[in-house]
Amino acid sequence: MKIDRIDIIRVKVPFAHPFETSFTRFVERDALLVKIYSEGLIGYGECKAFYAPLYNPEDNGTCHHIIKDILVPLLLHKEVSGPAEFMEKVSFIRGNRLAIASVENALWDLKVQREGKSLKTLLGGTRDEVQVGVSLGIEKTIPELLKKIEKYLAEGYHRTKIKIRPGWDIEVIKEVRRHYPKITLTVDANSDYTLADMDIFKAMDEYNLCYIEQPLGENDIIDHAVLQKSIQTRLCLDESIVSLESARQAIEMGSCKVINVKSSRVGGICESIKIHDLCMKHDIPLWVGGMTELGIGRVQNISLASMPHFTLANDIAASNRYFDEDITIPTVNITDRCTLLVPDENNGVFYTVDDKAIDRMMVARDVFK
Amino acid sequence: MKIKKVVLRKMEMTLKAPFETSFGVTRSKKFIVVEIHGKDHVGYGDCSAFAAPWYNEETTESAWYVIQEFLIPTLFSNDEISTPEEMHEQFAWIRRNKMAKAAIDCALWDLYAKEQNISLSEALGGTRDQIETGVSLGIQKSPEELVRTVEKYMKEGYRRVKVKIKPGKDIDYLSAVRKEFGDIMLMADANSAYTLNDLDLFKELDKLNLLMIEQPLADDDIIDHVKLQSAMQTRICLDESIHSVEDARKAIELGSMKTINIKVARVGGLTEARKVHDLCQQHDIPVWCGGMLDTGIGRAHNISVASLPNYQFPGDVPASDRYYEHDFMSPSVTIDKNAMIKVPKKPGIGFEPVQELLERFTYEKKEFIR
Repeated sequence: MKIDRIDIIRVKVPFAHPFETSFTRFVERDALLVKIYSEGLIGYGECKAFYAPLYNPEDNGTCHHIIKDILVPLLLHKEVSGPAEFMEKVSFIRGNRLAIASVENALWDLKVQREGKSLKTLLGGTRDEVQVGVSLGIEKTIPELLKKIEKYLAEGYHRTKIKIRPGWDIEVIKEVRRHYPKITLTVDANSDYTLADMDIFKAMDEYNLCYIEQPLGENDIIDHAVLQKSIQTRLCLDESIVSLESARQAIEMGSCKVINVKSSRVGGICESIKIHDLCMKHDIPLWVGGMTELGIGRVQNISLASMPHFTLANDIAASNRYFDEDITIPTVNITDRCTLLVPDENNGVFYTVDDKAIDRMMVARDVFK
Repeated sequence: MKIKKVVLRKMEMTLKAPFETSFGVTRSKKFIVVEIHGKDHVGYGDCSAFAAPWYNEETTESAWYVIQEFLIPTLFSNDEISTPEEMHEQFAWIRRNKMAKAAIDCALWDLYAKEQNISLSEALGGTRDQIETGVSLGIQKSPEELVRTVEKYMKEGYRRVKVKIKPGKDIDYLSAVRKEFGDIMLMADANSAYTLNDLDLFKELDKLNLLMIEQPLADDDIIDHVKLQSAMQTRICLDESIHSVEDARKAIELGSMKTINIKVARVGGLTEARKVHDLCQQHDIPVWCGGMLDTGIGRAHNISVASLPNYQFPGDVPASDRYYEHDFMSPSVTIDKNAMIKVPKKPGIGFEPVQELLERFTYEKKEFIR
């Protein structure tokens, strides 16, 4: 297909409920969208970077530059067969996977439209609906956290994840477990710990956690192997898995027993498929992680999670969990079973992009044609 | 240090000859120069990132953005800074972006040494009066041409020769040099162009008694290199894989290499470079100083850091006229007939910009007043 035009759109969307992670307080989703025009069709991709390099080395500023100066020239007015060929073209680029994924995702959207098949079908998805878990930030007090957990459990969420950081960890886990002995409970440490904290993790073994997410260094595979061998609880890697190669190494080293796949973090859906297939072979269960994305990314995540080996509850929220206004029609709604329906050719679930909403939230646009 | 203002410059200098690596050909170097103005002195740093992200994830533009958006505001949030290490800590919340951080860190070290009225080498704990440099050669058209090029540099006094290799341009090229020049310090730099499937080739290279093979496998790998190092005698040197003292610790623990090429820019500045140096020294792992087609400022920092005791192999620290017609720092760096460079004794980096040349090579300039 010939690429006729590419737009980079920056939007700012207020969060319905500002929240805190171990990095900072988030009040709005500041995001880049990529719109690729090809032979009468338009494909959309969402860049999952944040305003600052908090999660990985990238941020909206560096992604904007990489998309504009490096990726657009590789595609504009050129012939490209699809996302797989694009990934070959960008193989000389080191890192910058969030930027690459935004363009790759838009090419998948075009592929879906050209082939007249759903993304689920193209990915070989086997689920009609995917399970949703809830992820809770650091609260001021344990009772406040318990109140939130109560609310979400009542709504039927399939997994409760609490963010931890030094000083807000073992006591919190202990109290949550005391109140809810049976729930599927996980913790996410966002790389706030080191191997010197081994005792804290050994203590966590007592609380039957489903997994501990990314406890150590954000690019580490090696120390996690040491930790995993010393505790019973499964480790789940997030930031450390940036590619098929890093997944292979983590499996070989025994660094984790679960992987959180964020397609943006690994450079897109093509690489996510490879990681999925490798993990299926090695029986490493997967789930789809979130980057507080807007509707475009959210809908692609639902389809990704329909693949067979995404067996754990995902961090894919309904639109209104984060935003009063989202950018798809319809917005993404959760079923009364706390699941999300996967769009396919037959079930009548179908999302389009709400261009009017994007126009309202747009703060900048670059057009390349 | 009380910071008054920061000046950022985007500069470009044309290379004397195009430089070819396994990624492609580089014809000119775009880079960022940082001036940090204290009360009486100016500290200089540069950012080595290339225009496109083929060496690591950073580019000139991404560093330009990160320095302005995140590093300068963090710097300016301090009324006074006692040491460069203090800022290094304050930048820790920013993931990676090491080359951007290095530009600020190096400028702060220069300013710090000037305010202390000592040389940068002394400030860092350097022990050498002079450092040895080697020559680094891009991929040549044929083994014969490589031999001719090596001969030219041997005549100039270089004792260590580094040859860039890529699949198809490796064993024949290195063998030709070994055959022609006998027992010279010969090493190869693979810039991650190989995988563990090439084990047989590495076993062949192992017979050539190379000083080291630099970064044979993937650019962020520490794990696969363990398998390669344990399968061969020749030292593996890690370059791109080592971004921090933490990475160095893991590589030492696992046995991924026997030497590290410390590029100041890659590890985020002199503060982290010295930590990597110290850790390696404790573990008897010799290190050496790599280059990024450096211009005068980066070269000056490299000369000072390479005076630390555990920098034991000749560095990639070229003379001023090796890559560029004119450099903008004075005095020019020259190499004596034994391939040695004198470590400056003057306060700070020991080199000053020639204002006219500094302006000539600048194509964009921004000032930030605190």
